[in-house]
Amino acid sequence: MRAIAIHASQFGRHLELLAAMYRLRRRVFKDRLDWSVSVSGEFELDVYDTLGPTYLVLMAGVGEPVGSVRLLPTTGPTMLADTFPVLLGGTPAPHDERILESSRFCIDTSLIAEQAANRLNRATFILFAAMMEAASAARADSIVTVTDTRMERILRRARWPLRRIAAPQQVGSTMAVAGFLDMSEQTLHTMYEQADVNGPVLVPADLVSAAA
Amino acid sequence: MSPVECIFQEFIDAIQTATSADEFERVATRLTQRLGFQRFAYLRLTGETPMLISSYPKSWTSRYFQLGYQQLDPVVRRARAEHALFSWGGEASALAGNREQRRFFDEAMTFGIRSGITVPIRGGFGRMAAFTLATGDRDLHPERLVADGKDLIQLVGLHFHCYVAARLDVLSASKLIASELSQRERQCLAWTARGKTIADIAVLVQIAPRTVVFHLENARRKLGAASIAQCVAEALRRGLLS
Repeated sequence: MRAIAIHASQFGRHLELLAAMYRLRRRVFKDRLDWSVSVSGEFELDVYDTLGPTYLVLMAGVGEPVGSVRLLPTTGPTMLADTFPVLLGGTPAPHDERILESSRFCIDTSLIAEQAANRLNRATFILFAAMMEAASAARADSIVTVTDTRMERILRRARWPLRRIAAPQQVGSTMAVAGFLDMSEQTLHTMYEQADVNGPVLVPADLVSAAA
Repeated sequence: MSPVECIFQEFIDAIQTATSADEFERVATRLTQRLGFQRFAYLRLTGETPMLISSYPKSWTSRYFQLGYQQLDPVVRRARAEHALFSWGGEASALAGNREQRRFFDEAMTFGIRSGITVPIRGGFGRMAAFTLATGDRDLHPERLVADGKDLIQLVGLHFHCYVAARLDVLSASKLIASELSQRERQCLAWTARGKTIADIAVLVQIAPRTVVFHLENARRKLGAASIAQCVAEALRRGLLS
């Protein structure tokens, strides 16, 4: 298993992978979670996808991606500041080039049905490690995110605890919470150990096409 | 890259710089031609006022809204009911539908709109939009293009929708309120854009150099820029200094 990083300047070259990721997001966020997101046909996209995102797409061998996450700079509009300011508890939203915002984290559980728990955990750990690698490649040292208390528990179990900004709030049908995910050599190595890998899990998209 | 991949990359590169309806029209017009079509129309139906960005003849689009054709238009009706992209027009639809709808297609054809492909978009909270590529060319068969470029056209339509939403309404509106620059901030930025140093600006505006720094820093924060240079570029791009 490995994660591939794609930026807007590489969308054309990786059109199939990109389409597969938007498809995965539609299945998870519209069909399964029934979020109020924009969809067309099999795809899901929102306004934050227009702000220069980097996508991390998790692959298990060849075929469909099994997970993905979106990273955005916090120097422009963010989900936390512009869509969920209620989760800030009155504190100013982070706008800092050393902080990225992550969103649309998902693992497609239906594709990892066999050997259930173990593989699911491993996919989650690898995508977490990929987030840390991508953030440090962008010279960021922290990730801010809007999530829910269920995901917060997963993060705590993965030993990458969310540092809450304010108390959780009921948003629609979920208990939403915003917080920071701090990064260090130590958190990264802990994640590698849990994922049972020796080193980097993130592959730049351009190397993937060179190898193919 | 394959031709399809090139077209998509070119589209993404161009749409990232679009900030006005005219610029969105130019980006989509270029894409339309690259895909072998003649016209495009992006129609968003939200609440009372429809939003249209298109390269259709103005004589047709103004007549369309005057007569409330968006209620009648079989393409819009189908886009409301379906999720996947579809092709329409040509011989088949000249025979289908009720008399009113057949007359509508006949009329559209006199404006050079004969057949096309439409991407239906659901915007959440019951909003809907449709992105259409159309042609008057009898020999172009949209249904064949659907087979090859289905994903491409669907992704283009959905990206167009999200970029329009991001640049022309939600984010830009909230951003503009949040980022309204003060008179002093605009002045300091405008002088910076013309190559003046902080010491120069202090003399020109008759304030202390550290006050110049203060205003520039505030402007930088309001525009979400990482540096003063980026802040100047951003202010110029948004037309805040004119």
